[in-house]
Amino acid sequence: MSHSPVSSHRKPLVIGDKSYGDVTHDVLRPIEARPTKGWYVCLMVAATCLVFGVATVWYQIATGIGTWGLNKTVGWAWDITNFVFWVGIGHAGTLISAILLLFRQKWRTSINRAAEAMTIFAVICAAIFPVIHMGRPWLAFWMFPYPNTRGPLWVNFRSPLLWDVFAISTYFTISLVFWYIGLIPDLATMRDHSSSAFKRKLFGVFSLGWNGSARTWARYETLCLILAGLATPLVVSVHSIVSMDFATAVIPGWHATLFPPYFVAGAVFSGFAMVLTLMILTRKVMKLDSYITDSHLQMMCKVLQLTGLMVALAYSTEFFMAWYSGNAYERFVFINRATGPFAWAFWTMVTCNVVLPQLLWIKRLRLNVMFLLGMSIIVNIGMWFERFVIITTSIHRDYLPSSWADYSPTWVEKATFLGTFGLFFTCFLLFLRFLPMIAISEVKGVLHYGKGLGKEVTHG
Amino acid sequence: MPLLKWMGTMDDRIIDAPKYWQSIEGQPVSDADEFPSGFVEEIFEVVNANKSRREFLTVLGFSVAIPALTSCHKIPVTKALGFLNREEDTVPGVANWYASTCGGCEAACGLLVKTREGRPIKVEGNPDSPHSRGGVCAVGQATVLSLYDSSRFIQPLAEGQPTTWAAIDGKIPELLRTANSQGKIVLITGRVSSPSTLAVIAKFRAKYPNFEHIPYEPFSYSALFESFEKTHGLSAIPNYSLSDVDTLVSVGADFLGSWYGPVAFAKDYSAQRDVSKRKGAMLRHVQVEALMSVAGSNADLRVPVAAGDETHVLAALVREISTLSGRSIEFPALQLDAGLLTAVRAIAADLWKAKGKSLVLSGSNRVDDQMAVNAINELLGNMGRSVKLVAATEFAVASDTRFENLVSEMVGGKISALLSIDANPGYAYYAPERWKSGVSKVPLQISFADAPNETSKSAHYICPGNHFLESWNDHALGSGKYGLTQPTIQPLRATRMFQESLLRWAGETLDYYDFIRSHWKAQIFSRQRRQLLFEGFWSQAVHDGGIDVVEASHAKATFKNPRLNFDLGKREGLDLILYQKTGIRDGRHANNPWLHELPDPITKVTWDNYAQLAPETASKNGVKTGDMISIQKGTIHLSLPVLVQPGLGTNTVAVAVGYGRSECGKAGVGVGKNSYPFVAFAEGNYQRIQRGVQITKASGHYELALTQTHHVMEGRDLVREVSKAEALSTATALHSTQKEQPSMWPEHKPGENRWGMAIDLSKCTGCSACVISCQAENNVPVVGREEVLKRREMHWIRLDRYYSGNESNPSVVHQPILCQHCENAPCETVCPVLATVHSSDGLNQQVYNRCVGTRYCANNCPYKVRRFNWFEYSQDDAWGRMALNPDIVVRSRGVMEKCSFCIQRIQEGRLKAKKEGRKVAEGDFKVACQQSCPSDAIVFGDLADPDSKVAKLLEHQKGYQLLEELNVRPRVSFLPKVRNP
Repeated sequence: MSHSPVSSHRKPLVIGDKSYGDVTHDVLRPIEARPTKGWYVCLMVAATCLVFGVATVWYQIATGIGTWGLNKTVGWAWDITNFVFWVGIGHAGTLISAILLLFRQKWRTSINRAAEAMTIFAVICAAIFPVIHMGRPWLAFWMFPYPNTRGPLWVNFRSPLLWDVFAISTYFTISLVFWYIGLIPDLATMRDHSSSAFKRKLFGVFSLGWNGSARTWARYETLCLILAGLATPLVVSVHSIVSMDFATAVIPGWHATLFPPYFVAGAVFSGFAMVLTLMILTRKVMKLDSYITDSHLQMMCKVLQLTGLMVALAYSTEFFMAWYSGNAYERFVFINRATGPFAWAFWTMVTCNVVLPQLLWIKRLRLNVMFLLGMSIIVNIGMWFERFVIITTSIHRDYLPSSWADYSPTWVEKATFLGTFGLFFTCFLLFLRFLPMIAISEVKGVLHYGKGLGKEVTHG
Repeated sequence: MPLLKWMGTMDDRIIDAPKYWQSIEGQPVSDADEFPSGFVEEIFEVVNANKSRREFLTVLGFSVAIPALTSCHKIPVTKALGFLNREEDTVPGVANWYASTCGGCEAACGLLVKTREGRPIKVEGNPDSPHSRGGVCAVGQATVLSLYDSSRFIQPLAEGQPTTWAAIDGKIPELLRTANSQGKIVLITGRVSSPSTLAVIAKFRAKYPNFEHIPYEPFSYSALFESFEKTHGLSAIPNYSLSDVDTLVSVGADFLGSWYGPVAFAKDYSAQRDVSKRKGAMLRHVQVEALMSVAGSNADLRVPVAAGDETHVLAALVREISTLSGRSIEFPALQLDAGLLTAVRAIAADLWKAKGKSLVLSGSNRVDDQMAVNAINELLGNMGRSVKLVAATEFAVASDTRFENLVSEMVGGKISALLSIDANPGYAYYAPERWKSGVSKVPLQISFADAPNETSKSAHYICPGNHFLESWNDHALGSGKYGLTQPTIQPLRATRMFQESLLRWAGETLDYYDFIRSHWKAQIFSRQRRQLLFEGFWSQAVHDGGIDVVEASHAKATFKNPRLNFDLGKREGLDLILYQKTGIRDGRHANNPWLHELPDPITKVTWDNYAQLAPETASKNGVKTGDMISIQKGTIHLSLPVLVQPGLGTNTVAVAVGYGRSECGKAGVGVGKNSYPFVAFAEGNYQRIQRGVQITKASGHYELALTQTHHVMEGRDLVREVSKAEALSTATALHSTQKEQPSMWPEHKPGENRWGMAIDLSKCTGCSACVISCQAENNVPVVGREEVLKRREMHWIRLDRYYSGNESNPSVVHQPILCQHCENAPCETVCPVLATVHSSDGLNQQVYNRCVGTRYCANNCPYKVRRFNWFEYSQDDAWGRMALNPDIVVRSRGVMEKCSFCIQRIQEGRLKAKKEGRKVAEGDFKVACQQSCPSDAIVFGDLADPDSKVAKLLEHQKGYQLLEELNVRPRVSFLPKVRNP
């Protein structure tokens, strides 16, 4: 390829002299080639965790919620922590796909496909928990308002758990649709690229007869904008609703109007951390560093820092309000968090979410990709502990001291959580194997970004 | 109406059985008066194979009349047949109530037993019973479960082999004749207060003259009973009454928990402490004790002392009172700790001020201690008032000396036959080796025990007696009052009342029912004039559960100064005090899982016993709760986990008896450790307080299953206490401090009734009868020790116990917490499937079949009263299921449950009123916790009715609500605890 001139204002989004053909070729190469041994090993590990998780969940549903470490004081612990954890992670994908689209952030194009896939898999993992945490999960369908002849008997629209049902199902549906629609041009590319007749037929079906005409493209872009418009409010609403599970309760430590923005910020924080983890690993393994460049990682870092500060602000607000309110119960919850039996979880949370992310201000560290990888994992650990601290420490010591109790997880809860990681990574690995992890058509659209027309200028 | 026709023995019943049950498949009935062999096992095979109660009922029909069959047919389980001719007075679905008397302990509280479809499912107090007046304790409530104990003997056994009653009756008299000629026949029983039983024993003695009847109680009151002979020249037992008492001093007697007759005491105690009813007067209660007992936790003044000092306190008190009265009582001078002496002086002054209106009690089993108490009561003018002596002619009380002599005679080979009922020395005798050697020398041992125990293990013949719910019996209650026990169900197994066995072997032809009748006709009927005919008199007595006649005349009591000795020898090491827990008592109820899971009112421990240490003692020995220690006295040692108990006497270790059973059903075996070996026989009685005990820290840690692990209120406004003066003021101090707060929800539309509850914290003693009553009424499952450790016990009502003040002598409060049935219930808004809703009469209702088990409601409940079924807890054995209340569903796993304000009883009352065409009135029904509370602390009723007791109570005294500031608007109010310092 000939040297393209480079812009004086913008860094290119795709590094190196890539042509359109190069893009297609680079992204489809890992899919068309045989999978590496590394992929098989990772898949085996993930699938084992998944199978173990499925067996554990089967055992738990057959025997009872008693197999968990919960008791009459602590009714929710790992189950709802994991639920909120996975839902929170999903928010990054939607933010990248939808909000960044509306804000015309072209750098989203190389990560949005994988991020949206991550969202879908995270929401699947999340949705498992509201079902299995029920005492009688075989009646889970009663949570849906379906017409019936028993009155008719409706559900309780005042209940935040019910809002969760609507929120999560809407979120999953929109994410899936948006992700699929976005996939269509790339599926068409795969159809056109594929060697076997079977593959051609398969991708032909799923690409819905994409012909690449201008009119098709116009409709496609409009549709994407509409879907982005629909998905954008979900980024804020879904986790706000999830936070209402706690905010609308009377329990001190849960009962706070701060929760919706606090949780949404936290969700984006943990979501971007997970995207960072996945992107750093996959771009290396699949040799897609030219597309998911260091500047992409830096952008995501900035979001991480911003939302991390918002989370830190939320923690301080909570503490301030607990003191300022003068409410003995509220004050006690926070003192108990910092000094009680779960103080270790609290301080892990503060260290991982507030203290360590401040290291990202140091440019030298921020530019170190391994450091970013470590930091993103630390943030996710911290965010898991945040949900755990909020849920468990608030209810284990509430109003009447006679009911104060302790909690510790059983192997069943740990295995279930591990199983969801197994599910997540199995799905993600399969996604990497069978579908293009970068939005080929969208990247092609920004191939010339940062590569301006006119005089050649050399950059230092 | 009483069961009009008592069917007598199993043999008789077969012939009299209604025609349509005589055979299945139309087989002719054989004339066999023998019970077909293998028959009874077949029933139980069928029963155990088919786990459903419905199928069990198929076999036995809606009454438990057992059908006759020829010996060669197995029972086919074919159809469930309803009655063709319904038994008169029995409507399926409607309960029948029978008056009876409790056999849970010796207090003989009157009961009303609720039976459904021919089987008892609940016991309530009989309001007409003279001492208990409608109260029942936790043990009494739990006895209904022990009726269905699957470990009970099914049939008589001879040398371990099943046999028949006819065979037994053929063999035993001959063996007894032989035994009579070879040595002494001894019958050991519990304390007997039944005149008819004593008459039966007299008949037995007439037939076998070489006979002795020795009552035995492991935790006896023998010193108490002996003392009256010495001080008042009368063989008598005391009847206590607090009805005119202003000052009550108890030295180590847990009269509200397990001592003597806690239900009767609680009734009077609560009435005497009702400040508003008594217009300012209030009983003042002083407790001097080593143990933190239930009574002590309610005292206005509690003085913790070392266990060995309780005697010294009595010594000092006697001296003070004798000084104040000017009458001298002789005993050698004694040194007493200065601080204690000051306290005793103040107590004595108080007592003297309340001369004639006081009572002093002691839990000691030293005769000298009880004589001192008698002297004090005499000098204070309490005799004949708060202490009434009842001649022991109609009682046979346990004497420790006599029992000790018996064991010596056994070891000496002088006893040729040992018959035992309601006594388990094989477990509780303090020198098990000595007992074993004694028992091995008794050639004929017959046990009438209804379930296997350590004593029946060595018996040659097991002639199992009936449970009291299957028996006829009578009770002398003193002062001309008598109680009756009537059966509420045909015997479930081939068992027979032991009195019946004795009558047969004495050659009598009367059955025990007729015997009681003839005894009453002769001895009791003549002492009254209300009824002219015996049949009318008898029917009235059976209907009421007892009768009141003119007291039999007896010798007068005359006081003479006792010679007292308080010298206990040198002091060294620690003091050990053995005590009875409110639930397990002396160990006879060890196979009752309800009582094991009942949290001890003070320690809140379930399913175990432990060594209690005061905080100071524990830290001195470097141990904390859960650490193992080894307790040693002489050659006896026991290792137990420690429980640090605030308020326990210094230098004391306290261990409960009744644990460590080895031969009983699976609920009791191996639970806790047997501490009876520490009992010592000294000064003629079994002493439960020992000195010179050593404790050493042992290795290991044992988690005690506590239902409450945090014991202070953390400065939260949970239990309000007021002084007597504040309580009398025009209610402003007790007023709810919150004004009506705005609510975002519209008010619920009011219905005809507004159910509400008032709990008087001044009256609640923490006895926990309500907990078991609720468990029995509402089919609340038992979860077992492992689950309690995980904080998953299912009790719908719990008693929170908080300490305040300093550790060495804290102030204790008990607070019953149940679902508060909030108007703005936080649980109702959050259930996604509307499984918890609000009724128009103010109840928060849990709809079990709709619940999917998200547990959001439990998380959102600020009172934490909701209970979740973590596993399938409801699997009972087929027998245990018979205790279930058919008006309540049994919840499956994954479902939330909680107090429903006994909605089944509300509904019953409502329907009763509807049938009579009127509104529901006070007294149509009582909720379970309210009904069994001996202290009447719980008042339930219609707040919409201004004349209802609960409305009046709350109007005048203005109770407060728990966590008012949350604006959940609970329907349960608490009346503050009044202290009388």
